[in-house]
Amino acid sequence: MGPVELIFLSIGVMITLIGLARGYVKELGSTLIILVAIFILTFFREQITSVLTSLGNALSGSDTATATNELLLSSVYSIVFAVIVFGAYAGRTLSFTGAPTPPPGGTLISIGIGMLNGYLIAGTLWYYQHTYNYPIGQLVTFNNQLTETAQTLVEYLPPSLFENPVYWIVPVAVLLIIRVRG
Amino acid sequence: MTAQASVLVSFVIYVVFFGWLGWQRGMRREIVVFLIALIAWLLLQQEGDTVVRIANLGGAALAFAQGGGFSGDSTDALATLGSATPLINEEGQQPFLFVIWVALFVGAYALSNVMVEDKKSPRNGWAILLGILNGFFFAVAFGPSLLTLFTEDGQTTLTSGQGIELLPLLRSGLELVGSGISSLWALISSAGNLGLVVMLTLLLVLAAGTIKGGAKPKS
Repeated sequence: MGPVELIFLSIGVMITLIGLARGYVKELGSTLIILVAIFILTFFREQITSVLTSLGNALSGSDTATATNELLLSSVYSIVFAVIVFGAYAGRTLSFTGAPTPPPGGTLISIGIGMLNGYLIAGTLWYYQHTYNYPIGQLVTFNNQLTETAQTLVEYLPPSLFENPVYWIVPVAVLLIIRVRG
Repeated sequence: MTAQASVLVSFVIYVVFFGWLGWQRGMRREIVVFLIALIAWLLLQQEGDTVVRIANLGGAALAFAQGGGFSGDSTDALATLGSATPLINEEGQQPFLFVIWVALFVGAYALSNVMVEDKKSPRNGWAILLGILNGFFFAVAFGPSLLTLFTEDGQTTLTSGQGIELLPLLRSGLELVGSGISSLWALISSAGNLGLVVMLTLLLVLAAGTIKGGAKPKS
């Protein structure tokens, strides 16, 4: 398998293309939900981790089952995040109303917002692998040796971007105000 | 301004110019050029030997005709054919294929303007993206040759190993953009968490601010 960053870059590119296809008016609604998801998962991280670790210890019958706990924590965080993201994209979604700017400006904005969503989604999924020592390697053959590029990129993954997760609520609040005012 | 910054600015101007050109020409024209350039490039990479053999055969046929052909002494003509040097030797193979590709590419660019009607070539985002991609093809086509005009020694020629090198150009372009983004990121992150959150919020507000109408929100 190639370098780990290629997997997450591929996810990011795919999300960007989805953003381009959907247009930025719809994408901004998804951005709002993704930002809320990152805020919740980072703000309540200690509590969630504590509960999941206790659960992992109880299931494995050992207090030192680090690998099992890492797999459990990574899986639960990733699945919860993926479910929220799916909700932001599928079915009836939160969207802004109005007409987008005509191309080429509108297309460029769609690409920009798609890239932002790609970064937020792929980066968060990567973060939950990196933080818990790539537990996906317990399930499939996986090369967790980070290249120089990957070592640089992991420093900028969304959940580790702000020292205090409360910062995430600022763009959420501003977007909500814009959305409500229409 | 550092050398890297000036290169980055030049690259961005180049990309914007071809994006604008793509917008002006429309999607259908750009896609015609892009497909012809791409298919020709792939074919010449895969079947370049065959094209060279055909050209050499043509050269030999010419030598045969000049040597009298079937009308003159056939022995002399066949001797001329046998001793004819190949039109394209091994060294000239890459430049020859490159020139063919450039001719096809430029021809497609010119003909698409005539063959595809303006109203049938919609102006949209895809036209911009394809225009940029065609701009990369242009850089590959003319970059190495034009470079000789600006180098003191004039040593950069088609025969110096610079054939059809699209992928290295794309990689260099992406590395340049990546380097620019990381420099910008370093600048933003130097302002700390507040700088980052202001930047993110500003980006979203600017995007949302361009949405026209829609006073009544709906789910």
